[in-house]
Amino acid sequence: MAKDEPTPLERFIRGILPENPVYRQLLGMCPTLAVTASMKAAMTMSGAVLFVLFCANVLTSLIRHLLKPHLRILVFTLTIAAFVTIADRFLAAYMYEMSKQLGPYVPLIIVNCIIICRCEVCASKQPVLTAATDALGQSVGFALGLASIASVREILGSGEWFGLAVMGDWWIDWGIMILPPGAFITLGLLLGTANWIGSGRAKRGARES
Amino acid sequence: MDDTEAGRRPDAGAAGKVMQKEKQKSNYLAQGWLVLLLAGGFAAALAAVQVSLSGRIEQNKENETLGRIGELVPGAIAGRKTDINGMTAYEALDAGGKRVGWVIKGSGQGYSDVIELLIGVDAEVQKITGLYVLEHKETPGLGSKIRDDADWARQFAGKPVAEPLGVVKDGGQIASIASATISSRSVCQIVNNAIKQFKNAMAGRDTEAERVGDVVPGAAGGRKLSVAGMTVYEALDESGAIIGWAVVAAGDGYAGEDSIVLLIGLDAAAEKIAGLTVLSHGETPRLGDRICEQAWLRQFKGKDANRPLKPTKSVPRAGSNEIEVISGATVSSRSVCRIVNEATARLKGGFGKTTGTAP
Repeated sequence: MAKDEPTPLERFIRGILPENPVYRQLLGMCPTLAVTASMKAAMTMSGAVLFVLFCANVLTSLIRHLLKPHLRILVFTLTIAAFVTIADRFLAAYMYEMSKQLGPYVPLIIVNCIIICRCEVCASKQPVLTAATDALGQSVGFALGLASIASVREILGSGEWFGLAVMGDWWIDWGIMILPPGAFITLGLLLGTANWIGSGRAKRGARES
Repeated sequence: MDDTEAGRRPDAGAAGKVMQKEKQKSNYLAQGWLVLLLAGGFAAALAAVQVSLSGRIEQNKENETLGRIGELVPGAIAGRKTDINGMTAYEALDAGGKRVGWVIKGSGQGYSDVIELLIGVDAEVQKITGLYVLEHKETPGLGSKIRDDADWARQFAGKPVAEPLGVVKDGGQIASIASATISSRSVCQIVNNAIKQFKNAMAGRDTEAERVGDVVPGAAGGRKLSVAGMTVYEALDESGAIIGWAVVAAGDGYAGEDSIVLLIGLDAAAEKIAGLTVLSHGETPRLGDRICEQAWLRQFKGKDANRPLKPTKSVPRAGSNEIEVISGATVSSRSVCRIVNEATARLKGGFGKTTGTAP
């Protein structure tokens, strides 16, 4: 039993690539599509998710022995909602412009499946250290997922990266990339690429063994 | 042995039931305490966050308001917050410090939450010069266009403030956003209310006295009195003769304590209701707010002020004191009847005591 359980470090690594929330679990698609028109927005969203996921995971892990099976989802939602509200107010106070740009998507973290999934799958069963590293791993994975899509969209759509001009004057912005269709196209292509690389690896792995 | 068990069973069964009930009761607490405790803890934490951050958030909003003044009022480069008879507004100043317009804040219910607007008007308060949505939580992609679609907001610029704005569908001048008619309507409504409020504040006028003519036909003005703790106006005709009374009455509505304020008109003898209008209310949009409809308010005219009004769900009988309630707004309709009844009874009591003003 103990051997099958991944160590805290393994949990951290797993979240980043092997179990990447965006590319492998396909969770949290709403912010993935909606706030990836620019890197700044994507990274703010990732930061908010990191804060909420970390706090929710740690708290859930601390109270895991007190959870009643039929009330656990209620407790998760309550916990997540509280931390999301804190994050939302914080953004409104200290990053006002960004908070307006993200609009309803910050409050919508409450229903982001990544967080409730980690509470259910990991934090409600694992000690605090494991839950914390799991949260960090998944958040970094989410941030990488968002960053990959946002980079493509911002560079092609506005010729900028993090608001800095990276393309020359000759560049003509692809307007569609900052619009919703651009999000779907980019996600589809990147997801396809990720799967293609993954399946190549799996085949090689099968041949070797 | 069989005997003893059979003899005991009913007793044991009853005791068992009681015990089970006790157990269930304690179970609810035993199971729910964590949720309750967490809810309490989070509520306290959120309250602390709100207290410590709300000042900053308000400041952010105000800075944004001041930053938008240049867009809202042509020629303005700076703004100054002022208080006009209790209403907060921003003076829009040009480079020379001359006032070139005003920026007013308006807020009201939208489709999903309160919408906050900034409305620019010219210095004479004749024309709208700009509109900006400060805060909203309308549906992304539909209602959110009230802010995202700059062309839509631009429609408001140049509209005269004399006539209330409305969407084209309702016979107004503003093209509504496709699939977001309610959001569009709400914005028009908020603009209308804010401008009306601002104009009244600017004039510093007694808005209640002005409306005496609405509820007492033929009245040209009102003279303010206090009867039985209520504000009452003598309704005066052109020659200054008393032709009726207008009572300001507040009472509980669907939205809460004293949320409905009515102006009740009575004839000179205070025997019959001469008219009724709603000064303010907080009823549900599109349901309870129908108490403001003239067609419904007209029912009250001519009713006997000595007997209580009776709300009814059927068609009122001729000559009775019955008022037909608005379907979907029964509570609001009943509240209006009750407020009128209480006010007329109180007024009669007041007139009884103070000889001299008695009609």
